[in-house]
Amino acid sequence: MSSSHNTEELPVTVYSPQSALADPRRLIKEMYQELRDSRELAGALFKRDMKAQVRQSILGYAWLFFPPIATTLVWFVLNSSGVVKVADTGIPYPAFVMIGTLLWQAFLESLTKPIMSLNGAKAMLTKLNFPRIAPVIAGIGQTTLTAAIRLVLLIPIFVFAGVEASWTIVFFPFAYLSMVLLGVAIGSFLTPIGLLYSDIAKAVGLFGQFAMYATPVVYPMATGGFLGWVNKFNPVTYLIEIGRATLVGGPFHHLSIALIISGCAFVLLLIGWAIFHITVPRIIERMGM
Amino acid sequence: MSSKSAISDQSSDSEVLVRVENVGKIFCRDFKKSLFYGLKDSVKDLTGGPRKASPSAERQLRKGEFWANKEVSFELRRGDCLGLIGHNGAGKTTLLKMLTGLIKPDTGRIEMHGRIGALIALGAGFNPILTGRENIYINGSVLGFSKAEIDEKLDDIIDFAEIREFIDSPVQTYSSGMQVRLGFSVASSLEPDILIIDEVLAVGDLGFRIKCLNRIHEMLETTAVIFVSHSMPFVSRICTQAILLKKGYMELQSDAVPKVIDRYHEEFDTGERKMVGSGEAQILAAEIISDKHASANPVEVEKCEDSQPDNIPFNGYLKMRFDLLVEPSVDEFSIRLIIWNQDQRPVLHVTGSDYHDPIWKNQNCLMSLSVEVPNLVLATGMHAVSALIIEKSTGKILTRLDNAVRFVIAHHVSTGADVFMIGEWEMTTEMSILSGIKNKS
Repeated sequence: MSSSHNTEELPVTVYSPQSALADPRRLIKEMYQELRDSRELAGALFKRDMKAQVRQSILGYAWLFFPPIATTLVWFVLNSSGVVKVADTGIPYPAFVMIGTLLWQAFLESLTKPIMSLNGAKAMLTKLNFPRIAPVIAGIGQTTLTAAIRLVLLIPIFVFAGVEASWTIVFFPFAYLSMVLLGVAIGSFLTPIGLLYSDIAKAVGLFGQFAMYATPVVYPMATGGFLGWVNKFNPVTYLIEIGRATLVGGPFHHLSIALIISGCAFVLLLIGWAIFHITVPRIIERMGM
Repeated sequence: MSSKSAISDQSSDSEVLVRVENVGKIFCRDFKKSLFYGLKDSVKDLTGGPRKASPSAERQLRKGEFWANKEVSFELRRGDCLGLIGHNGAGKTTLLKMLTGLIKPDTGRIEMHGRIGALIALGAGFNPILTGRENIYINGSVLGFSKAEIDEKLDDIIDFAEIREFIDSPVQTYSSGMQVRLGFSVASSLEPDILIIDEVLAVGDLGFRIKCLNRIHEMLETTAVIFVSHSMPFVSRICTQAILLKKGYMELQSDAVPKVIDRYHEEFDTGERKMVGSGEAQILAAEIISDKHASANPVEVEKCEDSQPDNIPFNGYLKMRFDLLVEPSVDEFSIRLIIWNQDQRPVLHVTGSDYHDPIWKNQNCLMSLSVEVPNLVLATGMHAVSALIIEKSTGKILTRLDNAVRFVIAHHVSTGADVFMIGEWEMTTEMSILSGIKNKS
């Protein structure tokens, strides 16, 4: 399979100072083409990162399960000992926390992953020209797989807490994925500027710690007061409520809002992707030689 | 705005693989400002809308910015090998990065036809934890090749790199030489249309560099090659055209590669006179006294700064004189005379009639040594003479004077060789054997 060296048939690439936005149709074509071109590389990076996680580790993939287990344990102890009083959650508290934690961590990790993947690939980015979206795709793949693996924890917790899953559980994967979608959508906006200034990554890290408490992860949705107000305007709230609901057949009154939010997240993702495509090459120049 | 239909020109144009027009690049010295400009430029990209790249409106430099490349233009066809030379920081690697699309030009336009194989930095794209084999796949994928294509070429790549025993070890265990072997092997084995090589080749051993040379020669039939190097012998061997970059500009661009190399050499001073040694011998004066310079004043070594180098014609005559004082403790000494060219190669060693350095008995007073070299066949360019005084009995170097005198071989012929001579040529013919292509079926 020798490549054709006939000059007339060769693909032509043109580099100029023009902004990619000058020709929107070509921009979209380029973005789509980049996604296709990045398949193999993203796959290779994905495999590499998954393997690298466990290369010098004894416990290996077991580490994936510890964060949700730890959070659940902590809150279970806090609640049952009366140190923190949480309102009635409708289902046994450990299950409530576990489900909330899984959903929340899926969101948060998807939020931070794009920036982390690109920062991790900095050495390559500044020296080679390749589809920049590839590390991001690999990263998203990694968080999605991790989140999926963690779902295994639901089985023992349901059994232990004696919770019955409802038939609506078939919708749970969609709810779960909507967390990832929202996370990546927001993350994509942060990525270009996050490459320039390390403040962004730090701020997001800090934010992640507090934002969990602004969302009904370990407590049911608040109705009054400051927290109630925060919950109401927090988009993640609705996705988490619906996510939980699909598992236990619970209250679905937020369904329409959740669907709208998911739709918006999708649109946001496309916009964020376009912004990424246009600005990242410029930013890479500044990142270092 | 389909790109393929644009190329339906005459035959000469259809061969062009690389077209660079008036390309420039601006960088910022201050890091924080640079980040901020990056932010501003990104916002401008997103909101400014269609920006015409008009050469008439000259881009103004903001505070802290400078032109890393300016007004660079050239064209390459299949079979061309372009040598990019220049001092460190001249903008060679920046230009390469623009050619591979790593960074965008700030002015001008670049057109690249076909697939590009590039070796711009050492270990780029190599993940240290993974093995060489895994990295070949990833590297190939980064350069745009599918897994199937890489599978086909895998053995060729490993064989060329000559690291088969280590191919399944992590790259972090490789030396830089092994990394460059692997990198070059991957970049060149996958049949690119354009091959771009940065100065990293210098890291490989001599055998490897010769292999690279040969491989580039083979590839020239189907590829255009762009080659950055500080090794002028290498450049003069394979390049069909050369560009000398100076502070971002094209100082000289020509098909006559030796001419460009000579200009590169002119940029660098051979160095000042330097005398080191135990002090037991001193060279008080050194000068050239050929027929044409009979009236030249002897230049005193201590006082001399940038004296004008003498001009000597090709195949001309060189006569030098050295004034020496040697300590009485030294009985006999020899003098070693080496002539260096601008590549820092010792091209000529002037010996005595018995092919050794001439030996003299110390006269314990000011001694004046003169030497004549007829028919100097050194090639065009600046040359410098080093003189060493060596104690005969012990072999100790008593004094060494570098750049004792300098001279320029002024001749119009440029050649990449260090010396050249006029040979005596003759042709005889044999009419019974005719030339022509014989078909063997």
